Amino acid sequence: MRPVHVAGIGKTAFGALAGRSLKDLAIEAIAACLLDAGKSTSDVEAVYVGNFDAPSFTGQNHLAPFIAGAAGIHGVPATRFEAACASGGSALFHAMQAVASGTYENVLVCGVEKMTSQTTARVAQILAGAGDAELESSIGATFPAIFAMIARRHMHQYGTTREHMAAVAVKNHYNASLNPQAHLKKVITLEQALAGKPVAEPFTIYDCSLVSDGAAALWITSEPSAIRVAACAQASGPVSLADKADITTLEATKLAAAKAYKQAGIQASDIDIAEVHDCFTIAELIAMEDLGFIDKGGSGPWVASGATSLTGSLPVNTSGGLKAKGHPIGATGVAQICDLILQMRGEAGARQVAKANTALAQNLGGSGATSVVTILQRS
Amino acid sequence: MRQAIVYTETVIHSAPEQFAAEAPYQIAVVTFEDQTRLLVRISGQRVQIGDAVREVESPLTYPIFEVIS
Repeated sequence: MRPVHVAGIGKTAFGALAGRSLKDLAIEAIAACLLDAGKSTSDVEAVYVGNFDAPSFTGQNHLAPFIAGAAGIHGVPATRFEAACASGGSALFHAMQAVASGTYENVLVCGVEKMTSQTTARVAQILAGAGDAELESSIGATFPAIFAMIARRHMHQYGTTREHMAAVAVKNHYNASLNPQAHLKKVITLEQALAGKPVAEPFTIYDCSLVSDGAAALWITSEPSAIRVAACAQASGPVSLADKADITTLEATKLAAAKAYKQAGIQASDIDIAEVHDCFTIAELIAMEDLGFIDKGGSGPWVASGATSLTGSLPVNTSGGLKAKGHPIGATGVAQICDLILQMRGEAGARQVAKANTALAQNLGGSGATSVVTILQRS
Repeated sequence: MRQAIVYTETVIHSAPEQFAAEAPYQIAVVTFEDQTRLLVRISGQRVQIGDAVREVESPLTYPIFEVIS
């Protein structure tokens, strides 16, 4: 397998973007990405689209050629990848494989989701489709409920507290307040996070990521450039929560991380900065453990100590994360890479960290049925 | 009817549209004696991790359990 680089990034602002269509958002991200890479639509050899459920959210199916054509890319293969909230990461993983293997020189990856034209209850119903339809959504389980049950167990086994989880929300809201493209730029206090409206106990709305619209795009190429994809690994785990031996760890993340560290020839301690899948506050804590940044069960006190803040030893979710930057599902895994590259280029503005030579992204689907771990390095 | 121990639980306040009228309601993952697990609905009194529960008869398609007091 030959080296693969990311030579261009493009991203829309995330938010409840009334008046902006799915197509419109994808076109903006793709145009920005091509401009950044210094390429034109005729240079694209294949289009890989990450999208969870445009058919349910907007009524649009057959999405990849729809988006490619709208962006002025004609004739080349265009394919949609669906892996729940890891749809974007999965599109990236497959694009990376295609370029590494020599199938293509240049692949355009675009992640997109338009969610806010539906009611909250309808969104919950659509998202529940990423779980086990027969055993979970059929009894009224929601995704917040699935992760709330994971949180309850983590609290029970390791003494993790609601304050530890709220610390994730406070940090990510602060980081998003420095990100002009974030969905919510509102700083919150620990007290506010704890007193939020209940969603699924012990979660309040501040433990949950946002329902957002947005798109992001990447130029994946064999041509040498400043940022190299040192590793990209995807792994699977059980879809149903009841099928996991221990729900306080997400096996797919551990598998993908082990493979990615091996591919890159590095260890967890070599990572300077990370964007992880904080669909819920507990998910960021568990990611810290599964990615090997802190011992099992120790994530709560570690994150609450400020270790993962902008000035901490390992800044995590400097973009604001899914929690506050926003979570347009299919765009998320692609946007994580855009945000890491802004940091690696020194273009992250007020949220710029001191050192970002080696960066890690973790993108999770469902309650751990898919996990994608990507490691980027400055060439 | 089957008996089990509560492995984890949550009370759902924000429900999908199909179940919105029932909220708040509790669901739990329970562990049977043979160590298999199942996601179930809890009826009646709220349960916590470690509580013993038993299945109750129901015309519904999903399993419903209640605390053994």
